[in-house]
Amino acid sequence: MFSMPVLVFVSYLVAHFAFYVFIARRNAWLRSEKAIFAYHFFPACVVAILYLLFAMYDDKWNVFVFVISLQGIYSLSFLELWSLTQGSYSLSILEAIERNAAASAIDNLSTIGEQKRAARLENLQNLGFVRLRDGKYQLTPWGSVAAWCCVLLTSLSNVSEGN
Amino acid sequence: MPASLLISGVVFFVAVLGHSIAGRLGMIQNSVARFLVVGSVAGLTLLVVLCRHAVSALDVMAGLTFYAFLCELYIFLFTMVSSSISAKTLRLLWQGPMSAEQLEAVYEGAGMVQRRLERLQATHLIRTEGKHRTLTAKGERLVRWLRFFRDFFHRLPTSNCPI
Repeated sequence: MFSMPVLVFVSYLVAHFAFYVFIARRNAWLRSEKAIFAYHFFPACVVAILYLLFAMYDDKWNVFVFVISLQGIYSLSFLELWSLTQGSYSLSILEAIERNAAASAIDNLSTIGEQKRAARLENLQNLGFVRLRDGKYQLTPWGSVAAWCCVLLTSLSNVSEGN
Repeated sequence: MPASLLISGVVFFVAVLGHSIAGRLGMIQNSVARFLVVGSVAGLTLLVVLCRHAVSALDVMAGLTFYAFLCELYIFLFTMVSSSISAKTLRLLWQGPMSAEQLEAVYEGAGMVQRRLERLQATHLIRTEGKHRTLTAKGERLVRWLRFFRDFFHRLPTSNCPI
């Protein structure tokens, strides 16, 4: 069942994780969002290209699908947990409550919310999704596509809006 | 392309539709739990179908892994859209251009904290007695896990926390 290419891939995943645990996580350079994303994205691209070539050469498409999916599950889970520990707003509130912070102190967390809003708006502008025109923020064509995807996903999954 | 890929894609599409319909019927309020129920049933169905039609064990594994990846990606996307400030901003601007003041009114900091406190209470992570808020056992477990993963990722507590 587990052919050599699959075993090679699993070994690569273990090595990637072990490198992070024993070496990379202690380095300051891997503490930014961009760096940790690159740590997963670029090796994943190399793996995808190698296994795509292998699939085209040997007609082993099931190996390609298995490898890409496993890489996706690993990287997505890793990056989700990483970003959750970085600065989840709800978790900041939970920690404040755990420290028995006074109600007024918890209300002070609103400053974090305001900082986040300003930072996110700036990010959306930097990404080219939002622009300021005549004193009003509006979507760019790319922003409209992204917003349409968000609206579609909200409608499809029927989730309540939490902000 | 292996047939298992196509079958997994179809089953995933059915699971998303099931999630949407179950949400509209008011079944299970927590959207993640709702998808886990629907997705698990669909996943078991997929396993049976793949075992009947797949040529090799690796075909079955590839199909199941691909389905699991799609499910994780879907959960990540709809939870992000429901709680992300950036996604909310895009959805607001989808309705039309807004001034900085209008956006600030929507993201008034105290309101953001209040909505999150309500959500944390609805998910049984905190309890409120009068003006005093405490963590439930579930909330304490979550904070312990958060600390574990923060240590693991070698990160400091949120630096901009005002408490």
